[in-house]
Amino acid sequence: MRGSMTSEDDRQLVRRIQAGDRAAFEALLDRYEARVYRLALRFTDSVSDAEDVTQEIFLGIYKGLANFRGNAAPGTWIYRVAMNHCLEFRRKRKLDSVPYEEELMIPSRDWREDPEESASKGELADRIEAALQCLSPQHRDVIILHELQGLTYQEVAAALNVPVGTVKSRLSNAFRRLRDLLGGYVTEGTNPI
Amino acid sequence: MSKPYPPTPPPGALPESARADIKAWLDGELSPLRRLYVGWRISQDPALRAERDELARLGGEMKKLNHPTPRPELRARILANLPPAPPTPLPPARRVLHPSQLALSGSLACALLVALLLGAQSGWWQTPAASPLQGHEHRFAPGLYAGTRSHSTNPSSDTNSTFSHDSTSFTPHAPFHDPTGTSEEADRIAAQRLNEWQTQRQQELARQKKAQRLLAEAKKAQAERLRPVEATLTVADVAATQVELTTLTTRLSGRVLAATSQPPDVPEGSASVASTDVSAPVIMPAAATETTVAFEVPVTQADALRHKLRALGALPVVAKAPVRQSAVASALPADSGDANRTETNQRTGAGHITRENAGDLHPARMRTMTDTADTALVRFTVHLRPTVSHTSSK
Repeated sequence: MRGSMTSEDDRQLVRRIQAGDRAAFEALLDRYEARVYRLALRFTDSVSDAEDVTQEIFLGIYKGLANFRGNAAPGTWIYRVAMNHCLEFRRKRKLDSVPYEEELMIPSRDWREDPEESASKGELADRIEAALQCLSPQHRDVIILHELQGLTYQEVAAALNVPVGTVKSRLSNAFRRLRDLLGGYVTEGTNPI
Repeated sequence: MSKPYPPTPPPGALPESARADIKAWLDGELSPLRRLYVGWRISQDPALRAERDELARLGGEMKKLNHPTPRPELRARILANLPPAPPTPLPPARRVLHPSQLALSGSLACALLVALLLGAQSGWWQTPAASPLQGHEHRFAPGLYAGTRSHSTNPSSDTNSTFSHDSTSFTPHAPFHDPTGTSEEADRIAAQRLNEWQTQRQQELARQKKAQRLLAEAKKAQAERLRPVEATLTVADVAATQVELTTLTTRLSGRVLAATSQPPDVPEGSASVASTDVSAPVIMPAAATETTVAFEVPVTQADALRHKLRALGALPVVAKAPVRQSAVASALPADSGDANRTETNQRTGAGHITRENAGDLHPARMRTMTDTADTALVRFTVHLRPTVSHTSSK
């Protein structure tokens, strides 16, 4: 997914939309609907809320295109709009008040002690999802945008309106935190370089 | 002993900033040089390799997370709720001026408006009308008729073309405003202003003449005071008189330049004895009949020596040619003290520059003259002749 955002195609779509071409907006919707929906689902943890937020995001994009001057790539701008809606939703839900430092249901023992119990891939995915919920909002946001949405560091920085160095440090710290939370799930041997 | 190349870094010595780069190294977000460095450190350190593998595996597992897809109804729902109007871009926004720019523009506009109003009030754009006072007076008053209307007596004449004035003394009047708009009133005001200007000019000329006269008098008086004095005294005791004059000269901050004595048989003009030691009294030869002593005193103290000479019974004879200050100074001995020249006991009197008339002179010229008067030296040449005794020898 990374690097799939073709800015030039997006710019052409934007120009067509601004010219009144409704089909161009449908093409833009097809290109970004799934990504925006998954982003919204990460912030809402509810399908219905994610759909509402996704609808609001695309309505905002459609209206905001009137003021879009093309200084940034359309994909980056779309993610910026989407992040603003998602953060607004989080603020309203006051999800930030949840003590994310608490260990929810992360097992502390090494999975290699009982490989049969952890044979299922779904179990590891569930544990990673649970660990993601334990991260701070800032760390979780960069992991969602970079690891799950496939944005580059530059695009994440633009979407969050922070420097690229901040994205890099937050991502590194978030991964270390995840590694500590997951314990032995990610310490299975080392591979030579 | 050669060091191994490449050098082996100490284990675990990767700084925290470099450890943070492991994730960026995995994501390919480092610069080429930084990527080489971090990769080399990872290859040299097993702990870093283990951390790299953990992060890489964690990232791989996250890629495998479930990626839900939206329901098809969402797309239709979004499209159905779109506003009918297309998002047409707004025309380019007008440039918003900074408050300081707005203030500056407003000030300039106000200034221009005021200038236009004042110009309209004074009629500056109109051709100046001719003076109703036919003659030469209006040549000295530019702009005097600037406010008069074009229906004056001689609208074809151009006052500016004939204008000539003394730029050093002329004070132009501001164009007046014609309150009535009639030609008679304008002429009356013009004549009044012309009279005022002529009076002012006459006063200025009189002041200049007075200043020139005072300057000439001051120069003359100064030259008079600087003229060398030559006197002849017939005294009974030449030596005592010489000592008395020498003492007075020293007290007046002056100096004895030379003293000569002439024997009776020696023709005049060939001095036989000369002494330049001004501190020691002159030893007169027994056979001397006339002694000539030269003094120099500051011009501010010269009158005292003149009075003394008159008191001794001789009328000083002023030399015809004045001696310039530089010539007098060059006649002084090399060890002549400058302290004697700094006397500022300026005397006042007729022909002197005083506080009262100093205001009519140029300050720089005044300062030069007073400085010269204070530091100049006056030369006195005194011929001392013994009294001739007509008593018969016993």
